[in-house]
Amino acid sequence: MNQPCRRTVTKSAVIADDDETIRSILQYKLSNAGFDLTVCHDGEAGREALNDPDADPDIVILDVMMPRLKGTQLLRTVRRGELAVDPDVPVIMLTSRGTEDDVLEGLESGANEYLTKPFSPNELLARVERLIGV
Amino acid sequence: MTVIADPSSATTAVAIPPVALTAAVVVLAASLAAVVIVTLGYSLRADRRRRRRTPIRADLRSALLDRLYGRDEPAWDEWVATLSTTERDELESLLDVYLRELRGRDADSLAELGVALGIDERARRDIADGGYWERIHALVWLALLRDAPDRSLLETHCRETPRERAAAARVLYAAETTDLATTGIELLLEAEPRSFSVFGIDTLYRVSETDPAPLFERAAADFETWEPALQQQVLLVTRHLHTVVGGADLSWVIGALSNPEPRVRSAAWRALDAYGWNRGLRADIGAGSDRIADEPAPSVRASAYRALGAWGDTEAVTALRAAAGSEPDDRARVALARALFPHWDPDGPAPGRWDPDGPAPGRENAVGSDGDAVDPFDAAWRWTSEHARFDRLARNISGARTREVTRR
Repeated sequence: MNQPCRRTVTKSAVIADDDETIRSILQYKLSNAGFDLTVCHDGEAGREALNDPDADPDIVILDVMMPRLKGTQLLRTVRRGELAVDPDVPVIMLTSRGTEDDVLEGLESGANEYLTKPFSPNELLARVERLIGV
Repeated sequence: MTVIADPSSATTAVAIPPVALTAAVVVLAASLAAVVIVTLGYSLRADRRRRRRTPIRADLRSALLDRLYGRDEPAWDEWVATLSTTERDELESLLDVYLRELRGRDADSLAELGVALGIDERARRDIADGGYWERIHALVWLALLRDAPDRSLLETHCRETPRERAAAARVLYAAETTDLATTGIELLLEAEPRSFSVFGIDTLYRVSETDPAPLFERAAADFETWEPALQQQVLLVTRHLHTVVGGADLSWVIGALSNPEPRVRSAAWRALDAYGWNRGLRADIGAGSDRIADEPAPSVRASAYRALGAWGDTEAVTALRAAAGSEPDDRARVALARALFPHWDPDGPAPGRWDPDGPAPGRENAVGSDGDAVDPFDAAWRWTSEHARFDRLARNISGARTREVTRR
């Protein structure tokens, strides 16, 4: 994958999604927008990344249904302050579970935004930039 | 073969010659060996093919994303012209995956790649000339490309089974055509299927969500002739539609409240969840009268309580409160308590306690752990209250954090 020529690393993001296609889209879109990325393949890896003492992402993007640890469970541990990362870090849930109950559960878990698949990467980026105040 | 029959016995013994037995064993063993060899052969071939294609796929993925996000113009046609047959085949597979995950401008751009690969034309040919599975496959591609073909093509070739009709309706939904609701309902309910598959129900919902009028018109005309399973499914879809139609003829839903099948009556009550605002409809239902009390099935009464809870106005709450004094079934009582709970002061007394007529049928026999008589509705109310309290606690993330910080 070619690296974007206009990349300036001033922002960072943690992505946790078990779907390779989604990861590739997010990686390309966010790295093109100048994000330094930590990419995780499941919820437990996401938990480890967010529990790193140096973890200070500007934004976290989580899938809901992941092996080993669900995105909503991971988000709850973040919001309860159980991990090293700032409990108030902006979090976007990205999932194929789009019923009203699912969206409400995601938002009640503490998500700042909830996007359902299929999704528009441009819309996602706009929401990311709004959340981190770019 | 020698058959030895004993005239005095009803049973017959058959003696098989050893040569025939040996031949049968040899044939069986040879067949088994052939199956093993063919399976192994296919597995090895598939593995070799996968190994050969993995690096090709990785390169194509990178190039695809680079063209999609890294350039002003993806120039799909030029790129596709440089690809080998294997690469095109693999690119189609990748395109299939990405089109399912993306929408908006990126999906539109990828659909142009599909056109550059000639998928749209091939799909139309397959619909016109292909067999059943080719047509289904072609419809899936057209849905992914958001490309609706001529209606005559769909109407002539895609009506063989409910699955195929649903797939055709799905193409119209994906392409957001203006005739989605009318043509979609026509395709889906043509020949009145006994019931829909999960895919069919989902498609019926999607087709009706933007404009429920054609579904309601069709149901008003034909509901009585449908199988109970189909009636239940249409009512389920009606319940979940967010688009409420003001002047729609919903007499068929009210009629379904008297259907001989309890599951249809139950679904009819839930279909009315979104129509509490419709006073005329409410008057026709007569929810405050004896309709619910006279309902013999507890599951249907439970659905009626849920509908009243969804309406949530004074009249509905009064009806629920009245029912709290007389509901004899445990599960229906819990449903009633849950329906009433959001409309009641959680710290106040249980509504059933204000029943002026004393113990009602089914309310005098329950006994608590300490041996005292327990009002059955009171028990349901306390359970609901406890459940709601724990639910609030579990969802109160910021409160949990505050408690944690205080403890530290």
